[in-house]
Amino acid sequence: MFYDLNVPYSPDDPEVPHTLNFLAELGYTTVALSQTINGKLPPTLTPPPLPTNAPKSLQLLTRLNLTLADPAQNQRLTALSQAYDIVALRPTNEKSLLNACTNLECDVISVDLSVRLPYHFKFKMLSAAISRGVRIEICYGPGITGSGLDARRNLIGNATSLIRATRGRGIIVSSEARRALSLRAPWDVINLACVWGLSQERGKEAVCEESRKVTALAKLKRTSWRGIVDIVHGGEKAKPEGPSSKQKGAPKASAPKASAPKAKETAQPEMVADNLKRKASISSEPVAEDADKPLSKREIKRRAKKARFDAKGENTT
Amino acid sequence: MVRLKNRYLLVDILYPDPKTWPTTPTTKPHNPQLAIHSPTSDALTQGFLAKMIRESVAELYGDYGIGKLGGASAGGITIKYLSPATSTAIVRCPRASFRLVWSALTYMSGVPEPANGPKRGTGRERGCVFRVIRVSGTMRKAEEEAIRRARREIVRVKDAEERGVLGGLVGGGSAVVDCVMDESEDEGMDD
Repeated sequence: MFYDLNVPYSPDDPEVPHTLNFLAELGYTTVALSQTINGKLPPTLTPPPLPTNAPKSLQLLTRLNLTLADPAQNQRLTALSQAYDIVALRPTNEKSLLNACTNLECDVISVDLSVRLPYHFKFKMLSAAISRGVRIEICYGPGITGSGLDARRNLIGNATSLIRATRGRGIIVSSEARRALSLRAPWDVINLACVWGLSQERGKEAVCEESRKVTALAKLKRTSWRGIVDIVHGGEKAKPEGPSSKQKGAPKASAPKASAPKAKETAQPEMVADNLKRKASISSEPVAEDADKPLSKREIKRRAKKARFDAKGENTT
Repeated sequence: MVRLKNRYLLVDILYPDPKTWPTTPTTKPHNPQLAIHSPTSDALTQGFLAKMIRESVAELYGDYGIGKLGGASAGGITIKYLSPATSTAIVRCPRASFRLVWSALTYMSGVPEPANGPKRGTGRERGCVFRVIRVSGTMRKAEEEAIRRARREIVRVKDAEERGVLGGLVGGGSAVVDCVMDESEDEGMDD
């Protein structure tokens, strides 16, 4: 139940099995192997093959780190989130951080905290991200070993200010350790978070619960329709083309069309209510929002009343 | 009654770096679990470990940290138990500042290497990770936990060994398997 969502990975690195073994030994259960891309995206991007000889107790995920300097670039995030388990953004300036917090489709925002940042974190900006379901990440790796005194100082300072700005909410802690030596055990990490200003419970949540939420939410975004309706098992054999295609987590473009009518006829009132409620936290498809709710509130109420009336009538007769 | 309250940190030293693993005479591949928990050199004594921790606290927290530890030059840190064979130690520190000591341990990344220097501490550092397993108010609980852990590790490594041998002998060879089982049982009796 301990998560480390940022372990840099390339398939031809000889250190990888050792690192994974050590992670398993330290007690981590889920590890995201990350691939970092700077600048322009290559036309076809697929996650590198996972190592085959990993310890069985580890669950491996794939993650993409996108360095974000210019707000105009990287418009294919939805396509990327289909290929990777987690998509993380690394904004390099305030403008792109703001853009990532408010608009861009991602799971994690991971600012490089080991350099001196020329701006302050603002609660408004970060809370916008957190209320959308995007978590902010602190990577402790650069501050532990190897990167020198400045990196450590900057990391402590930036982590403290980040925790202050977010008021301790929506933070995850991961390693970003290039070598096994800069990994630390989960409880040591929690203690570090305590020293940085999180409370013990929040520190534990940063390594367990919040990280789990990131993975779960990312999965939900990928497979389900707007993060509301997800078909785990279609069940019936009579319609072979419907459930089987949806079950495998069909691409987002086709999923809404396939599952929307079904959801509509079964659970219309709840779905609309749900939709309104979740709009803030999961804005997976803000554009398609308008086309899908032609019903006004008045109309909903009227229908509900009618349904209730009908039901009552049936009961009495 | 006024009592001085302490915290006892049960610390484990782990060696993740394969370059620092002890070389085995046989060509058998390492059991990673065993190698990660490999023994520490005798160059690490109780006094030296205490000094290392104090220096790390001084580096991280400066004079404030050292003052917070209590005690004048000696500091409030005492190593109550250090076993190089199992790479385990119990560190006593004041309750008010155990997080300081803990984070100092987290930021430490090496123990002295024995072979490369007659004097202690002058040799190369062997990269390691200090993991705090348990924070306890009494030493007895820390000790019990250490014993429990050591037992469990032994059982786990033995299981892994057996499984490895069994996996290697795909077609028959039950005599060898029996032999291995016997050996492990004997060791269990010795414990």
